[in-house]
Amino acid sequence: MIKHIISFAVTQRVLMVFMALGIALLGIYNFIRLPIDAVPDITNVQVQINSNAPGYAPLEVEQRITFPIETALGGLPGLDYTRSLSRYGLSQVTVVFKDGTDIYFARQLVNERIQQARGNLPSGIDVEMGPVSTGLGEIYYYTVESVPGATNPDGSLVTPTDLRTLHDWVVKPQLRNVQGVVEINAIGGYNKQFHILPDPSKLAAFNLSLKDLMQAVSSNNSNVGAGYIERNGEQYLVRSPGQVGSIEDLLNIAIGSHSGTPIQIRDVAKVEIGNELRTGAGTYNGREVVLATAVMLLGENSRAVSGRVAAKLADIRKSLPKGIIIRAVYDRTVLVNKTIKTVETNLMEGAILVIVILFLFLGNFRAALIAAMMIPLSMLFAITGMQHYKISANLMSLGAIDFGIIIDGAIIVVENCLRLLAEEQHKKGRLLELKERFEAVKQATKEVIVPSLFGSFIIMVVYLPILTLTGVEGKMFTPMALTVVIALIGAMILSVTFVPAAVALLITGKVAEKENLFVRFARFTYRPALKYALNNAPVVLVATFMLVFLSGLLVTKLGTEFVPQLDEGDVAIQALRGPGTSLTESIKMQVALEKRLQKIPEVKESFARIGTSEVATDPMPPSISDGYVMLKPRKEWPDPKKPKEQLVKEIQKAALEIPGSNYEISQPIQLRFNELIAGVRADIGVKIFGDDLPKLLVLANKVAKELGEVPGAADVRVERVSGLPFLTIKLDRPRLARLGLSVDDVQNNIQIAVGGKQAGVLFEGDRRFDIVVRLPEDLRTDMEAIKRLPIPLPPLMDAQDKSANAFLLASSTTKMPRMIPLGDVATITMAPGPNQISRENSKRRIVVSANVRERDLGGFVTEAQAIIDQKVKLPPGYWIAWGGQFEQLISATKTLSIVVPVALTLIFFLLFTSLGSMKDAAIVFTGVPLALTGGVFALALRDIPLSISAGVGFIALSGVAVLNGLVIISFINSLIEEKKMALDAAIFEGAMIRLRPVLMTALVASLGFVPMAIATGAGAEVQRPLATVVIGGIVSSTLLTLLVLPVLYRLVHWKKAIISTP
Amino acid sequence: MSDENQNNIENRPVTPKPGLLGKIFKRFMQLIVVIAILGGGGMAAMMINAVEPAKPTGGHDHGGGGEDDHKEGEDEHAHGKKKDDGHGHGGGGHDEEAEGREVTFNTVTFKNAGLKIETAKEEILRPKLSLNGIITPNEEQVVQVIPRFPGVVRQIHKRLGNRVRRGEILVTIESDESLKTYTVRSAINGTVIARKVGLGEHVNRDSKMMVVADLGSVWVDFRVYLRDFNKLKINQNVEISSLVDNTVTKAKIAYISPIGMSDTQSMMARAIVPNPHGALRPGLFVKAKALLGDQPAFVTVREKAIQYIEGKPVVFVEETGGKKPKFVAKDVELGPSDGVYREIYFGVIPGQRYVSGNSFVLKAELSKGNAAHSH
Repeated sequence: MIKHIISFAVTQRVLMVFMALGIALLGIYNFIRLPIDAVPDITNVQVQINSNAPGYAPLEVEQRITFPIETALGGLPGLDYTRSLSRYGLSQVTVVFKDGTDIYFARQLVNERIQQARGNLPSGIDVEMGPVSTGLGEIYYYTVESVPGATNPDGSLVTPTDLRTLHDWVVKPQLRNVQGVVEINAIGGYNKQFHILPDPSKLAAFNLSLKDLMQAVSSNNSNVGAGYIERNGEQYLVRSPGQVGSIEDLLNIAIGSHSGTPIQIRDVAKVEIGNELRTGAGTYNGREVVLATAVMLLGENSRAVSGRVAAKLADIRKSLPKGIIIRAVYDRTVLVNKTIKTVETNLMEGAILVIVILFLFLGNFRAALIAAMMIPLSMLFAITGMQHYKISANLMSLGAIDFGIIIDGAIIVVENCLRLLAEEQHKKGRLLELKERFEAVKQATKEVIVPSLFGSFIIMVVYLPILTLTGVEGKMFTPMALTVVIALIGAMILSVTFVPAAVALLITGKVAEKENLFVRFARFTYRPALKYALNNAPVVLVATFMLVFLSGLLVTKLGTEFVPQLDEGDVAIQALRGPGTSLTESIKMQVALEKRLQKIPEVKESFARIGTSEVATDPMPPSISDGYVMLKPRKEWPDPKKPKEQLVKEIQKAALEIPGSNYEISQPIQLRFNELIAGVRADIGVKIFGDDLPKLLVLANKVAKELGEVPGAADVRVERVSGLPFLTIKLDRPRLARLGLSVDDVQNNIQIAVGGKQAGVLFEGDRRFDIVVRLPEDLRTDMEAIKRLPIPLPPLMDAQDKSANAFLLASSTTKMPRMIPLGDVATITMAPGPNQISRENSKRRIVVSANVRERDLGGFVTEAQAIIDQKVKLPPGYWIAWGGQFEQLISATKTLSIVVPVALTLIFFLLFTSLGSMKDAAIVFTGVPLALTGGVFALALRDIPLSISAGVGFIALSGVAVLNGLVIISFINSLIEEKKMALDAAIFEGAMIRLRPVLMTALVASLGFVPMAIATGAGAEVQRPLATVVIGGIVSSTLLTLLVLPVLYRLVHWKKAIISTP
Repeated sequence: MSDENQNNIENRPVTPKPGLLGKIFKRFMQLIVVIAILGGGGMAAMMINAVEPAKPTGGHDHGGGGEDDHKEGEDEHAHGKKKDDGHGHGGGGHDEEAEGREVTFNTVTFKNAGLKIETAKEEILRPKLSLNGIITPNEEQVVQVIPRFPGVVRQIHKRLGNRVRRGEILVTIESDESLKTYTVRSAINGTVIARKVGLGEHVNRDSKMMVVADLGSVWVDFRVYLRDFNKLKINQNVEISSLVDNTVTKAKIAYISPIGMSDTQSMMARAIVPNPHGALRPGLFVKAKALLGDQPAFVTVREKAIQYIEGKPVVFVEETGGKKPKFVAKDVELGPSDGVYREIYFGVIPGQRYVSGNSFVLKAELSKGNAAHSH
């Protein structure tokens, strides 16, 4: 079949060129549409349900909000699991669906269930689903600030409230309409609120309650429409505006009347613009600002969207009041551009190197060009495939493509064509005629196409194990494997169609028959070496075996790494302060931190989110802040060559100079992923489920203790769930009863007094602001004040009433407002309470996590489970579940332990089919370990740990090694069988003739990687190990293929030698 | 401390660490190498051997054993990590542990912490009690003007608000019995604050015709709630501030009512306040602070110095002797406070230097080991 295809391709050569052109154009078209990102998206399919419950404590949030929502979500199709978090003022339920579930379908399902649950929730609770976005969604951060001394039109200084108002009502609405933006999430400043601050004694003096006040506000603040009337043929609409529009309006609202005099709010309260009790703040370079994030819709192209956001912001800037600035502080485009640049550079340098090498070897520029053309063509083919399979272009998916390896097949074909054309020309002593040329090309292609196709097939097969990975690892590496496989398929198709066609079309002139200096030198060196090897088989074999054995030992000594961290170019520094740290204190510490960071010469700027933003995409308590440290471009550093790790260490050291916080340093996107995935990131997570929080904590501590004693345990940690200071106001019911008060009365007072309560909305144009009733500061700020909080008593009964109204009475205090301090009817205690309540699958849980060092994970888990089963007695209703990465490790090991042998068998089978002999297949197969040795040594030499990137290098290497082996062995076979050469002669001749393609493929694959191996640009971390392995491996593989393989072949086929030398 | 922190940070599980894939991959590579070395011959057999079965045994029974014996004190020290001690585990019984309650700074962090350090010393506490009150006329200086004999009012000499001197004629009445007129005179110097009769009106012996009050001194009656009963004593000084203009008038508690008021469960205390300019108008509310008397306290610290760890009060005391600034959280027993200083019964000795300002930073340093952002 392949022969027919080749013939067809050569005959219809122009068509083939057009086909290639078509592939290229399609690729370019798809390249424009392809989502480009810096890193692969590892977010699972999840829907966040955020409920804002102002003022609710964690326990109440859990009981009233989280639980009903969770219950409603049970039994959703495709549901993987739910987890929830109940914190002060916030409930977040995260519904995780099985991979592959359509996000919009999932959201639809969740939305239905939320509607059901809504009836069971307390009134005034906002339930919202998080934006349709992923961990890569936060593409653009900007701040809204005022220059010092900026004033409002009325001459007053611009306040944080003004900035926030400006952002929320001018900037945000415009940005929200930018295509691809799903949410603008702001933090910092204050939401503008109108505060009514009543004087409780005045209220009581007029015999009014806080409820009356709230009632008065809500019933004096609405517009009504009343249809229309007709008059003289005209239609008049009737409306009656009654909304309050200003502080003055609010002051004039009447609450009631006292002996005929109306009592207005101004008589009992002050009204002013106040600050909300906010849950978060934003800082920039050591000062408070409004910080906002543009969140990108799932599946959009981040580069395009952040470009549009930037353009829109430039527009908005023009219409800003004087003295207000919008500053872009993080723009994903920068990173994406860097990524594209890296890929571009690789492509360019790769192509140039390939052309140079091919030219050196082939001495024919056109042939070199044909082979080099395969790089962009297979790349564009891969892009079309990626677009089809919805794989985004990023450092992982593109960074691991080794073009040298991908075009190996094509190189072999081109080389052989050239060799045969030269041979034919030499034979005929003239230039070939068209037909002859075509025949030669067909013949040459056919000779090598089978081994080269098999080689490509084999490389694809080696990638199989990667495709079976699931979870985060799967999301990271499957796209990469798929991309490579698609590129390989593209290269395969092209090498049977386009390559022979192009050779036939373009190589018209005289083909240099004499090999150039370079190749001759190679042959000159190779000949004695091969002779020596063939004559000293035992030495060669023992040495080889030793090498392989040594590298096997070396593997165990190498460090391991999850995946080399992609350098995003910036640093994220998460500051963790003790639970219960107030927002004010947190801001103070963050400001100090940012001022300190500013002194580091490499730091351009830094900004932070403290606490939870408007849309609780990341529900942090005020004690935690996500800081982002933007670095200057390397060339502006005092020492542009300083490694990033060193800078990170310096940043960490600087941060630790600010006491009171712990710091975790990562990178912006990485941080976001961790927040979203948020599974147990340790090796082992012991989840204890149960009802009673203190009991859970006791159990968790016990488990932690036992776990800590199992050999190999490290970093044993109990999830931090308590430690938030609570002021608990416990009411004395008998006393309340005696005074005629209800619990509700008192609680209402506490709520309004301390937290404030919304009484309505005030409209200013289309801006809307909450009207909040709250007691004046001096009555609510400290514990003593709260103890003194006046609780009005209900009106007196008749008999008492009369005496109270008497003008002069012995005890005149009866004329005072009848109030009782809160401290008299309640005990107020300060104690730490639950900081957050975590639940999983609708049950409270606490996690004890541990890592395992220097021990087999499986064995550790078995032992730990036995010990904990035995030592930790669980009360009824409590149970333990084991989770963590060990689950994945075990399942991955299981999968791999099936898939790897299967893949290896498959390779062997392919080899067998191709060579038709078990023995030959086995010989070629030995090329794999021989290739790996070089890779291992190269890693050890450069002190690079084993990682998946390195693994991909090894995988690619195995393919190249097998490919080269296959080419040599099948050529020797054909020499023996078709040309009836003697064994020794055939081996020698075959190896010598194949030297050129073997060296060529090797050099192309390895030299093409040299820039990558020494690069420091974006994505270099991923490519460095890969490049190192390939370079090292190919050196060893080539040497060994050229020297050891012939020896092995002779050893295995010694019988033939006897037969053929009678 | 800083070394420790670094360890701590490096060990955190948030950054993807050399974990899972490395391990998988290592095994995978070993596998390939092993297989490949032996690859020529019986490949398949080798593969199966090379794959080490790592099966976790899954059996753990739920809910066995009803009781849980806590030995929390021990649990907490399981891992020998200083930071983990002392907080977070909700247990009691570890008052005396110095370890895990220390914070050591180097010069830079000490400077950045911005601590204020003072010496615990003897201090005189001046506790105050805030009170709400109402101004009433001094009833000892209020005179009801009543006719001696029933009769008809023939003449009223003084109007509402007029100042009268003692002996001045207020009303002239024609007696029913004698049909002669007689005069009613003021018994005190004062002001007419009420007038309830009209000319020609008939008055009886119990008719209150006028009220004359001397507002040169007024009473301020305070409502005192149960929890403050014991604090208030006669002769204590009070500072009364008018709600009108916040002027402060000093007075003394003159009377504490022996009778309680049933409806508000409070009692009344009274101060007699001079009112020379009439600024204190009866009927108005006032706020006041009673000075509960000077209480010498042997050891005091600033109120701001007190932090709560695990719900228990501590004071951070400077540990001397070391090279680096070092502070220890001492459990303390709190005495009374006057809002600025608080007496310490136990835990701090006089002359000891303690952190009086920004002490939260120290608490944060202690508790940050436990701060984690987990979902």
